[in-house]
Amino acid sequence: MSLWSRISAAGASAVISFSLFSSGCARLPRPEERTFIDDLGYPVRVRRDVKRIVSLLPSNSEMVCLLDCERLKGGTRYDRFPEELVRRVREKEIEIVGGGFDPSLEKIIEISPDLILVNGPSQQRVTLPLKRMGFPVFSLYPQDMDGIRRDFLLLGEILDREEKARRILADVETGLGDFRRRTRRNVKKRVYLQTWPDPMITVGKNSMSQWILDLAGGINIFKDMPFDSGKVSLEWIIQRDPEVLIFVDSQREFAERIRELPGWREINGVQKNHICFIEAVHLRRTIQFLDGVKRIHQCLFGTVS
Amino acid sequence: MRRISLSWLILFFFFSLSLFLALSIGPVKISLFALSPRDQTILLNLRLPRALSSFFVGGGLALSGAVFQGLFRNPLADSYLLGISSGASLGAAAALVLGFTSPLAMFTGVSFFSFLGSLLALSLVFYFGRRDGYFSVFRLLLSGLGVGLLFSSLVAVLMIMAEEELRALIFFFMGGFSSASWETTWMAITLVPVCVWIAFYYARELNVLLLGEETALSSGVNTRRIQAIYAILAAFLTSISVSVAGLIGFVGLIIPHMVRMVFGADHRILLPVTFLLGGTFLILCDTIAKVVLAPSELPVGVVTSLFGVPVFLYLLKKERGEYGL
Repeated sequence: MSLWSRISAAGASAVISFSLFSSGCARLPRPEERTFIDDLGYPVRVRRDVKRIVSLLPSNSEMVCLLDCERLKGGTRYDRFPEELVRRVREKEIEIVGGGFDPSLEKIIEISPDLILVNGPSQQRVTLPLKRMGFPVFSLYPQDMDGIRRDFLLLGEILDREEKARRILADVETGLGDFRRRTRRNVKKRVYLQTWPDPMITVGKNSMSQWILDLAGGINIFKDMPFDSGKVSLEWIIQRDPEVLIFVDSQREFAERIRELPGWREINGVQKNHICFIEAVHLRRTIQFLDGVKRIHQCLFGTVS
Repeated sequence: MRRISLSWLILFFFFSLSLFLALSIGPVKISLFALSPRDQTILLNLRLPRALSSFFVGGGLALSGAVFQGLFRNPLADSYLLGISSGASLGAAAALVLGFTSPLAMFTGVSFFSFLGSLLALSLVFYFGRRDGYFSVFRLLLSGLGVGLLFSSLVAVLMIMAEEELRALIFFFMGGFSSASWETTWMAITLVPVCVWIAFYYARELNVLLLGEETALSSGVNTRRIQAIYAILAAFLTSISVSVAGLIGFVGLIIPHMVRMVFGADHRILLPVTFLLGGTFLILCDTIAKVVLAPSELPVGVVTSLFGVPVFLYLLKKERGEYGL
């Protein structure tokens, strides 16, 4: 056997051994386990009675808590919703394991979760060692509202809370239907939504905020921007001439000043003083988006729906 | 001499052209020769300060790069050599993440604290770079490296604490003029020309320094003084630029080399040409940044790299000299 063949054979056997070792997945699921396909296309075996969940993404933490908050044992430092989650964090029933990109693996191991919920490809650096240690790591990575609905139902199935998930979704759909009926006569308004003042950052195509604005009866003046969000200049805002300006709440000081700043006075919404504020949490990616829709609608049309 | 005069003419032509393009091109269609009141506001309060900011920041960065390259006799030196960028980043990160606001109304928080951060870095670098009452360029380099690393680590700590501020911080790292107004431009317009004048004034001494410290001393040049003046001047120019526009890479590295390739290494010519070309280059890059991804704006630092580096590499391949370094 030549040297090259021997090296190749050794390499191939090493790769096969490593694959078998790292996956350990040649075996079939045990009776107490079920296999689900996550948003990255990986089959993940999950226990039927999941009791200890660690979530490395705020929107996933929120979904778990809406279904059964008691099972969430670890979350991120950015988790804010729902109320019950905040209370549980305060009472130390939920451990903060860090951020989405810098969680403490030791804390996660200490929690000993039977399900770890992660984002998408951007958290792979963290998820790989967890997978290698044998934890079931499940990616929930919705790209749009349909994806959020789908993932919520899937999570309901994993947690054996399908009925509750369907009920929550039905309530949201009913609320949305009612809202649409009551607001269908409103003429849509051109809106500029600013999420950061310097540089001026706004929302674009396919963002959750764009979707919420649209439902609320607004037309995002930068809906042709091919990103979730991006930097714009005042001249572009003047050119698009919005009827309403919405700022995220932390920008009150900036919004107070704009009437004195050159250029801003040229804008229709500034001339008519149609300026509102919204808390950033109402623009978050969540199944409970209706609150945000109603608040923006109130800002656009001055009525509570 | 005739060649140099022609080159100056060409440079001024490109400067005027870039200024004309910057004033003409934008989302709102305006005619420079028939302005409505709204067009006047856009031209005089948005486009003009933006173009002037780009010019003075670009010129300042290019000039400081040329000075550092000459001073340290290092072709890889650029405007951010002495840890200024880390100081400015720390100031900006502190303003964004910890919510510091500017005590002076004419500055934004980011602008004020990035300027303060760069001055703090500059003071530390010169404090540690000093020995027996003198500055050694190599001690300055090492002290710049140390201070830069220390401040970068602090920036990393603040970035971990950041939430939605992170995106604004990333835009600061890539620089830009999308929020330019007279309020942000005045510092560049008033301070940069003073620094530029001082730099031109001592250009002959900088030439002599390039021949080596011993030769310079024997020619009657106070080498320590000249080195200190230029190091402080170049670092101060960088601080002003960072405060106005964030971090814009490559201008301070590429432009001086381009000018050396064409005009040679005489700092009496090199410094003014570098300033003019740096300013012109950044006006053009900012105009491209405005339109290429419209309605969103590309950070100007991305454009300086995308368009500047290929030209630089082409000139590098063509040129066989050592540019006097």
